[in-house]
Amino acid sequence: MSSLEIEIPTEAIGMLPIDHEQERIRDFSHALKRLQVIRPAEIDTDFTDERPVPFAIKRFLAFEHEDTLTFYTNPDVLGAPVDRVRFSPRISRVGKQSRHGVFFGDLQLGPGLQVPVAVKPHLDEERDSCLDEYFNTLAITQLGMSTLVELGFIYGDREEDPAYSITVLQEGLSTLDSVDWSSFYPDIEEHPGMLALWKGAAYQAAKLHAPGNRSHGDLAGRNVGEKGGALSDQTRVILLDWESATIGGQPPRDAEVRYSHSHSDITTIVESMCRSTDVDFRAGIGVFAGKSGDWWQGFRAVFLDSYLERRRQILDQTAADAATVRDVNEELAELEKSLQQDVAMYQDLALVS
Amino acid sequence: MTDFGEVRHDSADTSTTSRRFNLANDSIGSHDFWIEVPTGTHRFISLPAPTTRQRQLRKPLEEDGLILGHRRASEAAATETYSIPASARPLAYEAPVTREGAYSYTDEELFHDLGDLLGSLSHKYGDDPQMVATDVTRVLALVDFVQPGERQVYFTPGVERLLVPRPPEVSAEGQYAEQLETVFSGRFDEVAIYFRMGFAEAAAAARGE
Repeated sequence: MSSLEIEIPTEAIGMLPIDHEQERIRDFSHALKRLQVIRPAEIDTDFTDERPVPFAIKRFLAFEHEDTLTFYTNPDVLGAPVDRVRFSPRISRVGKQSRHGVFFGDLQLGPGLQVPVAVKPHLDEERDSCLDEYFNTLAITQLGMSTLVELGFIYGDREEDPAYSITVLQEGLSTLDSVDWSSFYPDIEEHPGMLALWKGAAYQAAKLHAPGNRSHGDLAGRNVGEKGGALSDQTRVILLDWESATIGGQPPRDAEVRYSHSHSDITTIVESMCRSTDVDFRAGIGVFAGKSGDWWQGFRAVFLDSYLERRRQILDQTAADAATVRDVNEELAELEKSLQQDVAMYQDLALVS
Repeated sequence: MTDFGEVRHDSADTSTTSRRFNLANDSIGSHDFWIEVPTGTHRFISLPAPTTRQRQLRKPLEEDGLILGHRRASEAAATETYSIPASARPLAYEAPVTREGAYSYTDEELFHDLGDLLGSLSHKYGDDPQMVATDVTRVLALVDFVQPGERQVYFTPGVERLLVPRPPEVSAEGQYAEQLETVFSGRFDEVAIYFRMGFAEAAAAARGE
């Protein structure tokens, strides 16, 4: 043993911290060895259904689902048949705030075909969320939102079967939780690149909420990414992780329904910006945490003004009827009032703590 | 100041790498760009050909694989080009990563490797020791999604043009630590020990220990 190596006493081994990440990767490799079927998932989402994605999942479970552990591939991405799958992990800094424990690596899908992937485990009672993730992501892509590309998902019939959703890794993509925001606020005008990223996020959220019957469901900073990253001359923001999304098949009944979708998402952004990165429970990305000043005005300048401006632009461009215009204006007025209260609450909480 | 720089939405050059990732350095005339070809999108850094002295300074860094990417130009070309990974980005925009496991690149590992990289530079030139003349965070790049065992921090192409002889009374380690502390403030204080360990290990390796 060299002088730099440390000998660990046998009795101390039980006290070593468990490497959950290594466990997750080991479990995934075991799951790949247990795969009995690899086949394309053929069910399409029908947007004339009242609840398009839950209905698509029902049809999948009724007509396509295998009894054994199966890798269902996205036929739009993997055209050729696949007969075996192997995984080799990669080391990264991004994606570490994912509450699911996303990890990255390469999937070897037979001779000569290797795809870099991000793997998201859906464990125990959350197994079925991998179906939500896959079908929501496909649906939101069909509706014109840009996001990650689904490669497929692993799912089995038995309760002990693991479940994973697998997306194509975009090496140039990084999420807002991988940015150090500590120097951004209050001197936001001195950081035009960072401001442009938030403007892109606001525009994406506005595009999602404009029809009034859609929400992301978990719009924290870790689920907002810069697509293309390096390989773009402009800031191109996308939203990620659609497993909690709601996608309605019918127009919203009234302003209240519209508000329920937009407020749930934007208040999550607010919380993410206001909370510190240093806490274990519901860590934020630390835009406002630890800073003095009027956080509400800061939030308006960084995100909300761009969001509201874009929502009104879309309303103008879509030649909406008078009732829709009234509903959207009512929704946005109520949204602004609620968010002001939300930001004030987080600033008060920060002062107390 | 930490930012992704000025945003140019009206840029006519559609292949310039986004400001958040851009590793170009105006002071040495380097340009960070990408091109689309049928086999995919590839990213490059180009810069004017180096002088003979700069080539000499670059050689040991290149031999040890400490410079980002693969140099593609011939020795005789007026400019040279490096093919670099899509995920490579400037060090200064890194958020903290302090937990997780064997497949996470944590702050402790990052700053240890930075110490090792900068320590290697300090001991590369024998009786003619060199140091980085500019803010050191401007010549360091981080690559994500690497295979286990692969290096994650590198010098950016053209670093040899920013080296100056180190006066005997100047501590390169102290100067680099000061610059990292300016950029990362309290975060660096927490992991400075790992930086110093990396620097010391590089020195020991250079002495053949």
